[in-house]
Amino acid sequence: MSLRVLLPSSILLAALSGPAAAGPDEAETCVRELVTNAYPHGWAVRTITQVDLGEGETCHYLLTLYAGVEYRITSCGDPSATEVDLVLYDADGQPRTHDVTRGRSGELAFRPATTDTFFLAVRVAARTPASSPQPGVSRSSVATAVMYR
Amino acid sequence: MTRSARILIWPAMSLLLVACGGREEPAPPVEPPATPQAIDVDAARAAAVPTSLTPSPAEMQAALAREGIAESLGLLVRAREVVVENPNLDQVAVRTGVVIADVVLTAKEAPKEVLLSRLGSIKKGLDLLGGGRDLQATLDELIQKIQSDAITREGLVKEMDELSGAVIPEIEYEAGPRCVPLIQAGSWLEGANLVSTAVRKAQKPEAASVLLRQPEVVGYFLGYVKGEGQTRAPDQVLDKLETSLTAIQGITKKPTLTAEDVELLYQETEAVLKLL
Repeated sequence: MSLRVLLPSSILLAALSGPAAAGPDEAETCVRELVTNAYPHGWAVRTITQVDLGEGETCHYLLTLYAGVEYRITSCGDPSATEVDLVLYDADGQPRTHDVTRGRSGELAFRPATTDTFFLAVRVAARTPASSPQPGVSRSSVATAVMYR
Repeated sequence: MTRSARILIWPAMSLLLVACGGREEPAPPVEPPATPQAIDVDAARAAAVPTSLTPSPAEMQAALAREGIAESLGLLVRAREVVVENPNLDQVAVRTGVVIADVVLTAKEAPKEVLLSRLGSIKKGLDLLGGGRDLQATLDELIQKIQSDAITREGLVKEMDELSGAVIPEIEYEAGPRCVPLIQAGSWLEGANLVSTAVRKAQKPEAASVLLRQPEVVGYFLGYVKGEGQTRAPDQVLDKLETSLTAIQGITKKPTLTAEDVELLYQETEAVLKLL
């Protein structure tokens, strides 16, 4: 598993370097699009992060979530990921909610009853190596946004 | 696990949006997601990524409103200049984090010159920490937009949201991996101070259990302030930050916070912020 760095849209305009690999770009672009579309509906973003995962690999993120606040967690995999799953676990490790979407995007919504620490599991359940933007690359990039309102 | 800076080009990204629409090869059939099973918390915690652990100052404001406290944290931000320059880079990180929180919370209503001054401080702080040229260019652009009224306050809130939540925590700093947690610690400290001020003013100590009970967050910061196993050079601000966070961690571990706890938390955060 490897984490990658995200830069804001304004940096993109200022940057003069060459484009990065297509896979991570696509995952990030997809999730940024979802965040941008969510802003008019009162959502704001806590973090956008990105990770590279092989098939069956999981990345756990630690989250502190406020009681009563509405959270929406969205992930997008690059096209080599065919199934991305999200599960939110409480501090005792019990699953509280999970996404039921199919495909390379995942989304879940949650409003905690108490302020507490949670674990977010982001998993690439399946991938299609043939569709990888970089042949031979055995990992898929998955960008994840934690939004609240 | 590796981190590396990466630059993306917006026009290229707009083309790539096509791929998000589904121009991909047919996916093989996948079994429906099974009902998730419980996980081993200790193993998950050991491997967990803390990037998203800490609520943003703006999120603190949202949680405050949910608790029925109408106070604007932005209006509680004091008109003071936090000097980010310091020979100790840990201090620079904490100070920069405080200013970031101030900008995020006051982006909607602060006078232009105050915003510009604070953004200038953030730029200086991140430069001292070795945040890189791209980050400086981003801040220059934001400053320019504010100067020329080319950005609405709502747009600024979004930019600052993204900058503080998606960019600053993910950059590699020359000053080392302690930078990000200490920047976040500064922002959290300022946010917690303002939230405790609002709770005291509203005389709603019961809200503190929702708004301030974050022992995991405090423990995360404390690990870095202590030096993560390394011996840290004595420093007035960081020494006070360590003792304050230790006291705050004890408070935030309680299942329910009282008015006295809120008062103590306010005093502890205030004591650190006064040193900056």
